[in-house]
Amino acid sequence: MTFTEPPWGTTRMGPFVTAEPVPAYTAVIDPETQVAIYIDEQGRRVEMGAHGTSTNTSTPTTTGQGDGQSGQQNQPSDIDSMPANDQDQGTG
Amino acid sequence: MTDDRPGAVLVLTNSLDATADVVLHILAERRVPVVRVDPGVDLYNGASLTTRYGTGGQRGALATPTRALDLRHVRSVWWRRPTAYSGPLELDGQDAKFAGSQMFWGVGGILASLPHAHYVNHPWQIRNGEYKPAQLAAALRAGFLVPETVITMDPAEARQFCTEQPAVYKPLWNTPYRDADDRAQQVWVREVNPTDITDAVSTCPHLFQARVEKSFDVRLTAVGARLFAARITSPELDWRRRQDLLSYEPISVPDAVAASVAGYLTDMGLVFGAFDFAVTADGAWYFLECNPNGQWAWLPSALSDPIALALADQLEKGPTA
Repeated sequence: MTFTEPPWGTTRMGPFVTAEPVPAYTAVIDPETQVAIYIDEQGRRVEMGAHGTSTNTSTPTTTGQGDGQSGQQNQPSDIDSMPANDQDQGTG
Repeated sequence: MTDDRPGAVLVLTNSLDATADVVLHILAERRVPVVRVDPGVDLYNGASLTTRYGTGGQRGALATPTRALDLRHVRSVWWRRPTAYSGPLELDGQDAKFAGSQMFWGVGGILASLPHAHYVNHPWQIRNGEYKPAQLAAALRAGFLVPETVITMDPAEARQFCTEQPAVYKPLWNTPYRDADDRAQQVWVREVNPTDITDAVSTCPHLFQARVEKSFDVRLTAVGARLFAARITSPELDWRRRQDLLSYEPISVPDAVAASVAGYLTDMGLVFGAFDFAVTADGAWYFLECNPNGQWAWLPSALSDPIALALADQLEKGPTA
């Protein structure tokens, strides 16, 4: 038996509903509070609001995305899956 | 010599973790000392970590660009979303792999072995709890209702299961996947037509689960003994797909479900868990999964603020929580 076909599970894939481009932010850690301060591409400080995250799907603060691996995306994220997509590491 | 000073809270996460910030704001208001670090990145950007073991016991120090931490005095550890270890960006191939592995086993091992610290959650328990088969086994032990489920590499078994009852497919792990146009893809839960099942099921294990005739979903976030349950009304079978169309309201948790949640967390060694349930018209709560490092800040603030406060309480209290 040969295994040339993609796994059956990949036939169940679909795109995310909203895929609007999101701005790239960098984060600086506030020395006092250790809270991140977000800076946009023009060097301006971005206010995330008192709540920190948005529930609007135009930003990836949603739950369930296996895609946005933490530390590799460029948007404050609230994804629900662990960034442990490297099975050699997982949560470590 | 003992030292009764309350130690700092160590927060392990990447710098773009907006959820962590919600809790860090609360800890800052309470003047609880916090050290935030993303070891896989920061240790290549000015941070340092050294530990010693011997006749003097175990000691060590972590220094970040803004903090110095005596590792004997860590009150609690909040294991959020640290960047996966990869070694320095300047390296590649087997040298990068060597460095990344040493980081994983060395730094990961140090940070998982801090004496007396209260872990929310311990990383090895997170890892254990991420296995879907382990979740199902623990859910059964805890007395939850669990939908009929099969995990198989046998196409005939899969076809038969999906013929016997309406069923859905769920991956055992989410990996990044992109279509031909480089758009991010994800498996969305929807019903399986048995005639769609091919021999490509034999490539790897596939999980099929009876589709619960649910009237609504529940996300139950457990922080220690405190349970925060939200009823989610969604136009889609997979509510994650259109989070802009969801409505939420708090819902009380039946005593039997609360008891099972407590049993599950104890069994899995977890302090925090994000449980998903499908609830039928006659009030049966079916366990779907428990994410030991699930998100919660996407919930409306009326629902997420109490979770943030409960997490801050856990971290502030430390081992006495």
